[in-house]
Amino acid sequence: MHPPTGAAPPAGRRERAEAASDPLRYRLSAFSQRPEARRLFGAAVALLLVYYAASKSLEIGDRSLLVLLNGLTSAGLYFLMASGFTLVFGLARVTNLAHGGIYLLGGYAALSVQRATDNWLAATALGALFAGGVSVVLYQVLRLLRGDGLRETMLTLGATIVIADQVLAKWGGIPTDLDPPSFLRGSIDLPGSALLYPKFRLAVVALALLAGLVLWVLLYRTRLGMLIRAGVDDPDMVSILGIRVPLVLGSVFVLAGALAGIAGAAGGTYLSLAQGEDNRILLASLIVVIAGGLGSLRGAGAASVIVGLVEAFAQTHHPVLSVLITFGMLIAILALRPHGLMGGADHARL
Amino acid sequence: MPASRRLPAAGALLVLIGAAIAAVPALVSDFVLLQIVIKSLWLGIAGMSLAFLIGQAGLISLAQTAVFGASGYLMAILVLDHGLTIWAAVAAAVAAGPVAGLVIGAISRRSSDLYLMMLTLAIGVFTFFFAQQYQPITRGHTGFNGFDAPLLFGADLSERKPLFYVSAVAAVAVVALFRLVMRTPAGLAFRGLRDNRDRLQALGYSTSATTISAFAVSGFAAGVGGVISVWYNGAISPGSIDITRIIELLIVVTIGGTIRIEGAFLGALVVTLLRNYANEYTNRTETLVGAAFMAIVLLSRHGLLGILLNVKSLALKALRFFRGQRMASEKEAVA
Repeated sequence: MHPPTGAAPPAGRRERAEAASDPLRYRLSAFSQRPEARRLFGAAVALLLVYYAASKSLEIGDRSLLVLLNGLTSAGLYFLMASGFTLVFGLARVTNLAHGGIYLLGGYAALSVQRATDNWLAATALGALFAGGVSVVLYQVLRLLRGDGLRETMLTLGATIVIADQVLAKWGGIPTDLDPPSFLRGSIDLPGSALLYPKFRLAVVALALLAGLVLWVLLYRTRLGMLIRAGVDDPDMVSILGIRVPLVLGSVFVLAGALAGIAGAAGGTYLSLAQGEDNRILLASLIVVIAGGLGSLRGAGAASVIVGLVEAFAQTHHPVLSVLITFGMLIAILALRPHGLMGGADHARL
Repeated sequence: MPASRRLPAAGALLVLIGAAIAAVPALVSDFVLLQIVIKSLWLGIAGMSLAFLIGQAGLISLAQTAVFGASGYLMAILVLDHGLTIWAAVAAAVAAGPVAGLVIGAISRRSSDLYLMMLTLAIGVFTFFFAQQYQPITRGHTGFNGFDAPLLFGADLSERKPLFYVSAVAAVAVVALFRLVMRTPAGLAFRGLRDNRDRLQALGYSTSATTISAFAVSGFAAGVGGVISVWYNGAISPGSIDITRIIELLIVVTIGGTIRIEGAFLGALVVTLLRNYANEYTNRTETLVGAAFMAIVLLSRHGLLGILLNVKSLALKALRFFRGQRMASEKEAVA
């Protein structure tokens, strides 16, 4: 038997011993471990999928533009959620499963403000503030556990139950929604077709882009952002240098909560506020965050677009199987890249 | 203890447990037997699958409800849609548990810790959405209703007492099976996975294979729990495996602690009691359950059982301290 050519990483001793008696398996494992082969395979699969999507889209003609826009709208909402989730994970190593609950709280708080003032922007701002406040309170409780990741996660799960039940007590179980601001009511004509599209949904995409831009400026152009990035790389070193890490962490929690609150107000406007919405959005952002690579902001951005588009496509063409398709995509991504699209093996990359 | 002496001890234990099981229906009211005892039993069996994964293999899975649901749904589908005889369906459903565990383990074989938790959460919630959406097989929202529990030796398992006895025997059997697995080399490998992954791998074990087999073993309990729950409820729907159920299992295990897998039954009992009796005092049962869960997570690493054990060791320490004081003062008196 010839040794394989190319730079295969060394396999475990046991694997190699087994492989020696099984040439086919050896070749297969050598194939799966060669990055260029994996990339080629991934590219081939992606090409096939794009071809399939394009041919399906041609069938419905004009309406595929709607699918595209729906996908981007969802992507915008998912990015608002996933960016906060992934920042908190990257910096504090906390898997905040109460993020969906905070989304709902932000949305409902905005609803109350809007009923009182009839001002969407004020409602969203106060909703975001409230969600950020809840988030930082949660952080203060989490600090009691001193970095025990598992118990922290379970605590956030407990918080999810409490939040969901309190929301039910305060706002009731009937689905409801916010009115879009007056300048975003109604629809616009899509260029080059006879289709109409709600203005507000397009505004959600713009909002997500704005949030991405603000986050980028914050992370790469400010002192706080520098501290956050340093904290992701090496929290111990940052604290030795005399930085008050809890303060940095607290501000990240506020930021993540506020983003979730904004997402809640936006989602509550074009979708609805209801029981169970928190879990739906949590699942979607989990998929985005895992697919993008935990702790990676760029990954969250890329994955939210992919997940949003795949979901919108699946809901249009295979409504019964839509969840299965979204999930299959996640499994495929993880099979090719175990740490997500842009996740590192050992530490997160922003 | 040599094996020859272990056998009578095990026999005595079995007789004791048997006597305790036989005594329960006489001791509690019909309501408590149905609403508390039997429910805690199947919830505890399902919880034990998670307690085993966390306590023995160090794998935190939030996908055990998916296994639970796979078994329950399979039984309902085979009987109600395909007209299979009930015991054949039960056998298939129980076998489906380890198979579902195998699949989940295979998907998440490379993950650990928080990554694993999130991946399995995604699997668990996905299974819920699948059950809700994929109507041709799962009947969507409503799920399967009107499932009749089978007859066993002429006893109708939709009656309280027969169902109780069967659940209790199943619970003992699952505990025994898990204890047995824990003694085998495979059980040792699971603990190796929990304590030191890298070292396990250096010793020549495949962590992937170990993870997958731990999921498969634990899937058995979740499957058995799923089957009994369908007998108990006479129905299964997406609501039986939604995120509140996922969290409920985690609460059961957290309250019970994972030092001993049997702790799951303690956790199940506490949760069932809270759900049944808390609404006499407050309308916000869920808030209470969530807050109790958070409090226990904050207070103890090993759940209620851990708190109890802590209190016990503290009491012992205090006792020793006072005894020491007294002895010292007696010595002074002598001097």
